[in-house]
Amino acid sequence: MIKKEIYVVLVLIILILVPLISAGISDWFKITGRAPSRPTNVSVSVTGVNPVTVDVFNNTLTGIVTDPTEDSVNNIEFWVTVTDSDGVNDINDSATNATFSRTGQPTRTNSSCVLVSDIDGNSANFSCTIGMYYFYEIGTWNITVFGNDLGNQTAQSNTSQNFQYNELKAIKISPDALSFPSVSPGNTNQTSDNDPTLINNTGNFDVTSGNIQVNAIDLAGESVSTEFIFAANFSVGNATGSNTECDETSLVNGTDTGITNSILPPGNHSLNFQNETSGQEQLFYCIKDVPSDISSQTYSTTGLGSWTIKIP
Amino acid sequence: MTTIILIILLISFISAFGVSTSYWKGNPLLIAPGDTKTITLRLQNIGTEDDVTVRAILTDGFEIASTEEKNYLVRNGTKDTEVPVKISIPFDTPLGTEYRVTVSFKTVTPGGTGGVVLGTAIDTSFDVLVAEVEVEKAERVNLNFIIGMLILIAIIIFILISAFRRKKK
Repeated sequence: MIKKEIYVVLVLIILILVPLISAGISDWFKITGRAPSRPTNVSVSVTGVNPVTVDVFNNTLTGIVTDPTEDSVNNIEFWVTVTDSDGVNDINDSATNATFSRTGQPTRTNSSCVLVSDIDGNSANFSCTIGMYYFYEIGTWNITVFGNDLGNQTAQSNTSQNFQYNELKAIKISPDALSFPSVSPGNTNQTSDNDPTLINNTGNFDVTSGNIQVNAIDLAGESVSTEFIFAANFSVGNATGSNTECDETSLVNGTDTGITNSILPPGNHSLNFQNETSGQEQLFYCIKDVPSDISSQTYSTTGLGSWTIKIP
Repeated sequence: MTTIILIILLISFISAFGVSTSYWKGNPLLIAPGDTKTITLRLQNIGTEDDVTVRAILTDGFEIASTEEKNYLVRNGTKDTEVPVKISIPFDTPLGTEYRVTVSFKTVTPGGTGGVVLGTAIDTSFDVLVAEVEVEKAERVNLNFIIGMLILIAIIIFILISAFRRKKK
């Protein structure tokens, strides 16, 4: 009687569990998720007496590790394991090297990865470090790993692994303040005497034409704070000569205003061409009209706040 | 010697910072309906001599995103000041729905005395795409498995107790 009840209950258990568990057996062992955050292996076969296997571990190449470093080089490190069934002594320690590459970008190479230690009789760990400049392109970069042994001496490569080089928006500006020569009420087209503002793109974001913005605030009198030179009295351009900047973009109080023709692609600004070919832009400033009804005093950003140069 | 001093003066940059992110326009964060994720934006201040204070404000994507509106002190020579942004997608959001999230950063710059003081600002935007995320499915399967196992164990215990009582009688 008890046995019969047990059989009935077991059938019931199966009937209950079937609709609850819809995955197949293989699903319990399936590894899922975003590819860049998973350890992956690259196999490189080196022809010879016995093949060599190269495992590349790119599971650490995520997040801050693959952020460009502002205005500098980010040395990205990853590990490689080389295995040779002929024994670890058959591995050519100086032949393990790696490159990062992306279409349209210069290939970055570590010509000799560093032997860290032997793991066992057949395998050794190598550390590879490749420097990535701040102005290199955002997106997926390919990892290529080369391996070789002492027997066959024919290098082979595997190009199947990638990592994501992240976006970095960054700028540096100089100088940090503008000045103008002494002007009189009613004067027109007075240009700054310490411009341009030089803007360096110190990241890898592409600021397209017209998208450098200036947010200007009315300048209040430092003695009589109820008198102003309004933001709308100023204009900004990316060229100078014959007061060109006085005919360019007029500013709007408290508003991000795109400067016509301003452009700031990523680039190597140590070339210092002071234009878009080296990731740089210059801004020139003009007071188009000095209000005729204001008194003689210093007008500045002290009272109402600083101006801002922005990349959206 | 005079030339060297001149160069030092010319490379005296100011008002600088950077924002890095693993998601951007065209490289969206994938997230399933009903899920919540926190992503991290990272502030940098490299190659300058001074610390910089940066204010963060969410300016787009209010319906799904939140971040604390506050000032961040970014130390000179660092690139790891983290700004968390929490993304929550309602259960009833259709797959394929896309959102744009923007966090605006601006240097906290005093107005100074005399002249026009300049600060810098950066908007960081990224897309959020509502999609079935494989890892979430795996988690749900695991949950079903655990529930199934618990029911099974409970039933077995019940049977054993019943059998033991009958035997006793």
